[in-house]
Amino acid sequence: MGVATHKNARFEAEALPHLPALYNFAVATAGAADAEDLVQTTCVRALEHFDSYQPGSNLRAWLFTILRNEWISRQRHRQRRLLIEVDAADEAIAEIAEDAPDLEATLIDQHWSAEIRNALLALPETHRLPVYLKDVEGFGYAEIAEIVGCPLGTVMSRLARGRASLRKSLVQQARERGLVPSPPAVEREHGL
Amino acid sequence: MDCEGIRRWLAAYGDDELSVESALEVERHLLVCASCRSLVERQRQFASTVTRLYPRAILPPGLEERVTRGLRLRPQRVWLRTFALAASLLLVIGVVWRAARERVGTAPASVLAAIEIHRAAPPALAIRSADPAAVNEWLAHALPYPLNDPVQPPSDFVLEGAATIELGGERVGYVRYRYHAQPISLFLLSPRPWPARGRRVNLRAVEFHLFDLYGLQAIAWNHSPLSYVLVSELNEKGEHACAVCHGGTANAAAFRLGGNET
Repeated sequence: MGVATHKNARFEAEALPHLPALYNFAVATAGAADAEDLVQTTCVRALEHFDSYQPGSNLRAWLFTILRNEWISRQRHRQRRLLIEVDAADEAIAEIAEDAPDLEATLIDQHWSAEIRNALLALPETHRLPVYLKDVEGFGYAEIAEIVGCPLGTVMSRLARGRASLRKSLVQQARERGLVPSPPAVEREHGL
Repeated sequence: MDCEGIRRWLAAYGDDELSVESALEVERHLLVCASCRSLVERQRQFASTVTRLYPRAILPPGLEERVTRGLRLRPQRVWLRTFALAASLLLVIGVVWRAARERVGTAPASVLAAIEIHRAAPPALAIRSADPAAVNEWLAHALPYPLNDPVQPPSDFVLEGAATIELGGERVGYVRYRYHAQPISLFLLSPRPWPARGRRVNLRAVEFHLFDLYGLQAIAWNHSPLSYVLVSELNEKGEHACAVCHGGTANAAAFRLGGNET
């Protein structure tokens, strides 16, 4: 067995079991339309650089990092504009609202899986990815910082803001459907 | 620390990501602050609800096979890249530039025009569809000449759609596919003879002319009543380029027979 063939076989055996997770992360990163292309290119890139992978470290996080870098290189020009927009929006996002204390029970009772996914995918990328990587994939903060390429403190603040935005969006939808009570009139007036 | 200061740390505390010292400081505050205790509990509940309910997308059918096949095609390309880096940069630039000029001079004008279109911004598609029947029907109405051959992509190609474009002063058909993320352009031209240039591969009385220009592969052939040019960035050379599409078909052996260099 040649060196390249052996490397291929090892890569396929170790990396391809992560394909479903990689595809889901591609959907969260780039949307369903680009996810398949992104996964295929990521796997080819990962194979090319497989020699630099440290055996025993988190292979799934390593693959996610490559996918994330590949997506950034594809979106290089648009990405710059998006980051500026998102950074400006960061300051406008409030803390988790003190209302709708029964939201979680409502989400479970109504089985709002699709609503959670859609609301999460609608978040700005800088908030969407930390929430996805933490709450869906279960990565630690340090791994998320490595994957998205930002400092640990930034992960912490973006994750908190992302969760707050996600919750706010779901509270709003639940109110529109009459599943949780609306805030008192005085608060609504202040909100205007 | 007051509530405002502590709340910046609550999410990390709930995720068990704080240092021991910071976590102890948060806990000292939580002992005396019911509001922050309630908030951290709600944050935990919300995060665990997202974890529990978020639906995972199912892997598209055939994706694993397509990825595996893409990986097995790759080693040749890595080897070529390594070889290129090892060569003298100046010598490579000079040789490639001279070779490109010579080859540009020998490729038919319509092949060169097709390559230029593929290299530039991809033409806008008038019909976007992965359904060969829908694209064939559209082309049959859009082209000024009969279209007997169906635009039937190999199984690994993803059909994106079609358009009509200007090429060499005439209106021609344009079909775009994706193959492992790479764009493939197929041009449908009015019938024309192909000069005996480039590398040639014969298959069942059809002569394929293969050109390698600007790092792109172009294949030109005639199949009554049309002439075709296919342009891609696939690295496979000569008859191997044919085998990319037809390697899994009954024609595979015929495509591996080799060809004549001209």
